Amino acid sequence: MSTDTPATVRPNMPGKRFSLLLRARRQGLLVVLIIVVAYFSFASPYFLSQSNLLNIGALSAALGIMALSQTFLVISRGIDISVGSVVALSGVLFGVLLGQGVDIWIAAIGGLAVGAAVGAANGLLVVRLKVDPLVATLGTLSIFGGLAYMISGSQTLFIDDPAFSFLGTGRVFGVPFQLLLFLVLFGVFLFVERRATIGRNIYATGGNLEAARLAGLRVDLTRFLLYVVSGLSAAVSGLILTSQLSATSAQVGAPYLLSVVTAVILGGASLAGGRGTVVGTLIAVSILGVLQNGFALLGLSSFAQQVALGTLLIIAVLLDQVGKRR
Amino acid sequence: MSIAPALEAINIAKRYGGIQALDGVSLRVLPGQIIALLGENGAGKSTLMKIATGLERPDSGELKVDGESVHLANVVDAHRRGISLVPQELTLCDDMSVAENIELGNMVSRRGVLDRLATEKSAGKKLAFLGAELDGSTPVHDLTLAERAFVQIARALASGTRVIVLDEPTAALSGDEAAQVVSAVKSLASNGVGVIYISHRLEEVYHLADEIVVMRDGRVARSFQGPDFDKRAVVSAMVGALSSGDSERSLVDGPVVLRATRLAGRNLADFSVEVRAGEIVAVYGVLGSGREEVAGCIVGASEFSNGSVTVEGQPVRLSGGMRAAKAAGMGYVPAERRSQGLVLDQNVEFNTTLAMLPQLTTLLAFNRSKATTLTTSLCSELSIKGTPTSVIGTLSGGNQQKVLVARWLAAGVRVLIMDEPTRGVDVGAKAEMYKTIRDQAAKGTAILICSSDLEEICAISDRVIVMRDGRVAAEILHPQEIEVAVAAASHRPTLSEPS
Repeated sequence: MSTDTPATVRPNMPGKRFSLLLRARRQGLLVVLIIVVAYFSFASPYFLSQSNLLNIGALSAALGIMALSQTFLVISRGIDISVGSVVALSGVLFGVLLGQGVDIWIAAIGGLAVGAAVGAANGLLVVRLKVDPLVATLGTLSIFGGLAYMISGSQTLFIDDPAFSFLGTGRVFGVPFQLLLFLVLFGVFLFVERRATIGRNIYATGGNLEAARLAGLRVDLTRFLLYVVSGLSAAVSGLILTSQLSATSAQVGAPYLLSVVTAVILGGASLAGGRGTVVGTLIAVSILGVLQNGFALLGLSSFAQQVALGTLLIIAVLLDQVGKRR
Repeated sequence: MSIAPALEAINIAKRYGGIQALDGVSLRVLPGQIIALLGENGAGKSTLMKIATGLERPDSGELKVDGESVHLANVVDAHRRGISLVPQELTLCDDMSVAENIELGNMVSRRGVLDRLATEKSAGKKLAFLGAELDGSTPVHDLTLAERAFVQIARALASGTRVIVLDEPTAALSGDEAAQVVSAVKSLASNGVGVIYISHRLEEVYHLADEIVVMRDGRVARSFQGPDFDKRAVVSAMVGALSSGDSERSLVDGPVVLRATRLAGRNLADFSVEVRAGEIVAVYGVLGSGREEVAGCIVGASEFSNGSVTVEGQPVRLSGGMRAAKAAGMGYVPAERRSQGLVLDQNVEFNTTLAMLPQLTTLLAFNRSKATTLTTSLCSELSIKGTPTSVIGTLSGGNQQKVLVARWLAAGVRVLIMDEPTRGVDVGAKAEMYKTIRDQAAKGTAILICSSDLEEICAISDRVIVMRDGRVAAEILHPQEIEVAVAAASHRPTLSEPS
């Protein structure tokens, strides 16, 4: 029965010493990252420079923050594809409030609050009204996106505030502030995944909702809060992007419509729930960031980048299935 | 012997890694004969059947079909030679019709257009072969579980079918439905098909089989010729030694711990029960009797539950669901351990501690060393074969079930409610589960068991409540009378099986 060694490996759960390397899938992903990095560092002398690497980190932070919360959501067998629109909506609302003469920090809180609120709306749709998460957030993707255009009047709103621009352009000891913010959040999410009781709640909810409910866990609350966190993280990303560009428009969310979910699945989380790790997501986000940067450095078109990304995603999922069959 | 066996396996051996799964097993099935294959999990039954139906190749030994030596390349090859397997798990498409499901893979079509009439005709013939009366155009989702089993069996039939292997066809069925499937199997045999029948339900096997073959440790331990089987000898051949210990129990008169009053559900009305500390009360009933709703209603897991439940005098809010029930000191082991009980990807420790996460938490962090210690001690207390880090999906059904019990023991419950506590586990594991349940009762836990397994109820309960048509039909206080009384109370005369 349990004679073969894989049986005693804990999948996706608090690992033993080499948990990072235990999962062949994640190893494969790490190998892909190394190959991509190696390729670009040969192809472009500038690629491996410190400033470029920090630049990649800075530009990946917004995606990374959303991908962290999306990872937990996917592990719990949920999904939120509306995040791209939430980025736009909260950024635009922030810009509009500012335009009305509201204090900049209060406007920022307003942006975050709207993120949390729309996340709560997603959560209610899915948890209380039992709408399929893909359908629910596909609907809200459209609603929030449309609202962002309506509120902004399709205009680009410019923001000129040195204190606020620190969020997206500031540096602490030479490290971009947004990258630090992402790394801190990564630490928090890693703790929740591996050490916190909430993490077990999330894995149990996604692994077997009914079993978790019948063990007396607060599955509905867990699922609801994950949608709120997802909305909030999209709002944080919206503010980071606004600060980075010193401007906001309803279009800023466009690149994130699909890339957040792509990163999470590439990172090994299963849409069937119960599986996934934030470390996998971190590696996947790094791969996306490196690809984007590398393609730009080599002057390749962003369309070629899309082709590469899609291919990578499908190969990763195929590898996963081959691994499962064995 | 004048007739050649439809299927004969001679001296089959098969090794997986370090385990000798089969060690020189021989078996023969005559046309029209029903052979029951018994044995605990891991005895080699499934391996033997996989070899007989072309799923696996033997390391050595010979297979003969109608006296002719064959090498089965794969399942399709075996099917062509007239040997088919009916798997344990139903593999039907719910939204397709009965006929389409039966003819799946060889539907009759004319120039690419499905010939519905021809398909239904062909399916109808197969159903008639089973003695089943089913309309071929009915969608499968409208069928009862027994009817679905008919469809699954009919699919395995082809014009030249010699031998059919049935892997626990009645495991998920209640008494009545199982009886229907059993009569279909008889009909198969009377039409000249040899049947190999794997089941954990001994009563069914005694009733059905011409010969019982008991496997243990990869060999044939013993075989018995029917029709009159020595039941004790069969059981002892299976487990090695008879696990007795059904000592006479007397009525328990501890304080009442669980009191449910006038519970109602979807198909349940006016159900009341009291369970005392240390008492094991069983709720018995066939499918549809309301028995299957009782447990869910008491713990508030069913959205239809209504009525009042108290634990040690304290009322439990039914709308609070399992959380409220747990807080009141109740534990619930659901009927479907894989879909309702376990998080299969996770390990034993994760599953054991799932109901007591708050007790293992300090400042948001999960206390893993405490959890491991606790799980290890529960594993040894309940003799669970596995370590805290074993993935739960790799454990046998009996061990998985014990983990579910361990989950509630860890949480320190005063009331344990179990739905079908030994469904789909082998005889040895059943005996161990009964011992576990008795031990817990002896420690003062109030235990309520909902079951459709009469043997089980006779084996462990102090008192039985018999359900029929959503209501309590009888309450039986004396364990000695249980078997006869329960059978009488739970079946309406028109439905009872003439056997």
